[in-house]
Amino acid sequence: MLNITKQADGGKLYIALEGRLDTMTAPELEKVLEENLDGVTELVLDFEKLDYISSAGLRVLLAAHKRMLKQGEMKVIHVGEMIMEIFEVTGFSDILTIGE
Amino acid sequence: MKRERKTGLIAQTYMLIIAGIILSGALIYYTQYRIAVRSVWEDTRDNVSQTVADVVDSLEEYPAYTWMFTYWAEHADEMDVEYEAEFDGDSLTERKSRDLLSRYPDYELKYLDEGQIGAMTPEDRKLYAEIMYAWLLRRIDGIKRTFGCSYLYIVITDTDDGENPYERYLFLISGADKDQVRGTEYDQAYVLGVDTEVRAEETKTAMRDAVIGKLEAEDDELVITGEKIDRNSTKYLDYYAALEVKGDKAVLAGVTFYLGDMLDEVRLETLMHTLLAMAYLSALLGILMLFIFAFMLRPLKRVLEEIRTYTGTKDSAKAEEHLTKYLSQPFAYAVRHNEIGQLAEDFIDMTKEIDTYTGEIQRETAARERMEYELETAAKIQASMLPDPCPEFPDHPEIVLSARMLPAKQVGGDFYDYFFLEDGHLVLVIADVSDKGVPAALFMARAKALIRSAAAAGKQPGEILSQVNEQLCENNEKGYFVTVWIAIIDPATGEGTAANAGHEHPVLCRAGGRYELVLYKHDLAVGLMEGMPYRQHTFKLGPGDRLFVYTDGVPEAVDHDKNQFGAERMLETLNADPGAEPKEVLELMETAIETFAAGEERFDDTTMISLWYRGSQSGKEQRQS
Repeated sequence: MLNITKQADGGKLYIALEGRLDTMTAPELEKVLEENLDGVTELVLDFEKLDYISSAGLRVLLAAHKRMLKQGEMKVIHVGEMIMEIFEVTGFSDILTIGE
Repeated sequence: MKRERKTGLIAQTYMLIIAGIILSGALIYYTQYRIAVRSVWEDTRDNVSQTVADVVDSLEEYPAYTWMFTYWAEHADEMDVEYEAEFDGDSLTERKSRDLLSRYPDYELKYLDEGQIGAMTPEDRKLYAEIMYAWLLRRIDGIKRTFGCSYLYIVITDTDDGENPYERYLFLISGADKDQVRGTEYDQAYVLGVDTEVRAEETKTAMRDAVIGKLEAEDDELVITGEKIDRNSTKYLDYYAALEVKGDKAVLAGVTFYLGDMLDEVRLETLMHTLLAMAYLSALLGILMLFIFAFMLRPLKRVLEEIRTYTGTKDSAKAEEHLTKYLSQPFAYAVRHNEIGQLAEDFIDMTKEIDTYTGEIQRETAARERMEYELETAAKIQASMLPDPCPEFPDHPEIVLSARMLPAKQVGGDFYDYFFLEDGHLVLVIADVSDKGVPAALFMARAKALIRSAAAAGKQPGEILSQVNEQLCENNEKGYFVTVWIAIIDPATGEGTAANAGHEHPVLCRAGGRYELVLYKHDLAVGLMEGMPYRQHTFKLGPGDRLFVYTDGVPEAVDHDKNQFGAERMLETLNADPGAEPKEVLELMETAIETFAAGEERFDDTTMISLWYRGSQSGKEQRQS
């Protein structure tokens, strides 16, 4: 299960994720991003309540990262220890901007 | 799927028709019989009327008939009556009339009135009454014969005898014939003076009604009463008519008709008529049946046969040809315009639709089979792309290795690779493409080839991954990527360089020690993003060191409750026998995973490489020993 909470404020989009971002739920996030990223210059993803991220989730994350490189910036905040380990192992920690 | 043929329609129709004919027959018989009996009864009534009218006419020829009734009743015992007189000139009655005429030469005996009779001597009056009786008797006999009634009689009865009127009657005169002799016994034609009790209440009622009718009638109208008896069950009909009512005495004529023979006749005739009607009905229904058979049942049977044949052969062209030909024949004109013709046409349409569907299914099945075959072939090709899982290296005894790739259902995206470079270095690769199926397998083939060629060009692991990353990122619309662990080892020294693009942590076991995960920061998987740097690091294997690398199919194998096998269990399995040969390591790991999964389907490819570095010296020594 994945709960997606989003808040838009001009060019800034804040999205909080809760639960698991895996093969089943990644398309939900992909759809939300697809529909809301137009004109966004600052994307913030809050991972405070995210328990798990699979390679399918990483792919959605990377797609968003690539798109935001063109139109602004993307930041992932509140990354837990487990997710951080996954980012480390997969090399995502090198490309993503990870905030406090 | 042969079911029993059901051909009951004709038999059922026949049975229905036969039942209908029988029912109609019964109905016709019943109504016809009722009507016939009614008409017999009405005829009888007419006969009775005429009989009584004849009797009255006969009586009225004698002006003194009322006197005669009274005289006969009062002198019944004294009368010397000749019953069966033969008027041949010498009969008693003729002699009596000659005798009487000799005394009254001017009289015409028949037309004497009461005054003339009253003037006679008592002996002559008696003589006259006897003569009249004989004459009238002949008339009554004649009337009975003419109308064929069973009984014809004239009686005198009391109309007001205290509490019991009509209790008895006295017979004055009765008609007789050869079938019914005159006498005093029951069922005989009673002679003058027989005094009888009236038994049936109906008879009394009929007589009373007749008397009342006579008293109330105008213009000498004849009132006939009776039919006391239910005309359906009894064969005798009794009627009464009052001839004379005087004081408390009444003279009545009684007529009885016997209908037995006539009813039998009527019954027979009705039966004949009924049978005739049934025959006519049968003929009519027979013709109708012929039409039903010709225009419905036979065509229906024909269509059914075609349907059955089609069920067996699935030959729609033949079914259409047969039915079209059948319907186009001249005698099938009616069928073309009724529901059976419609059925045949609908059936033809249906077979065509079935053909279309069957064709589609066949094409789809063929396509699916071809796809399955192609998938199988792809799996074989993929397997053939991987090097020998249990190689022997005669030139490199320092290295013992074993590898395994267990694909999930379809062709997978995992692969392993190993080869020696020209300078004698060993290249080890294990990789996992981010998807499964044919596209992943194609991507894997490309990645594998690109890695090989980059390594063959003498590049270092980090450089190899950087170059392959750039190549795979080009036109990677679908966003496939591959995690790769690559190492290049010098068998002579055990020194190596490795790079990790988002792949699982390798497991290392130093000689005499235990297997442990080698944790370090990895780079991004290959194919995700252009321009990424790929780091490499160096390591050194000592003699007896063991290395185990794998894909996520190992730690992420699941049991029935979706629990993962996990890195902990993997390490426990390896450490159960740290000194095991590479081939045994893989077998143990495979067994452990299978035991853990307990029959659960593997949904990811499982790939492993186990390497045992024996060192340059010990390797040679062992080989020589």
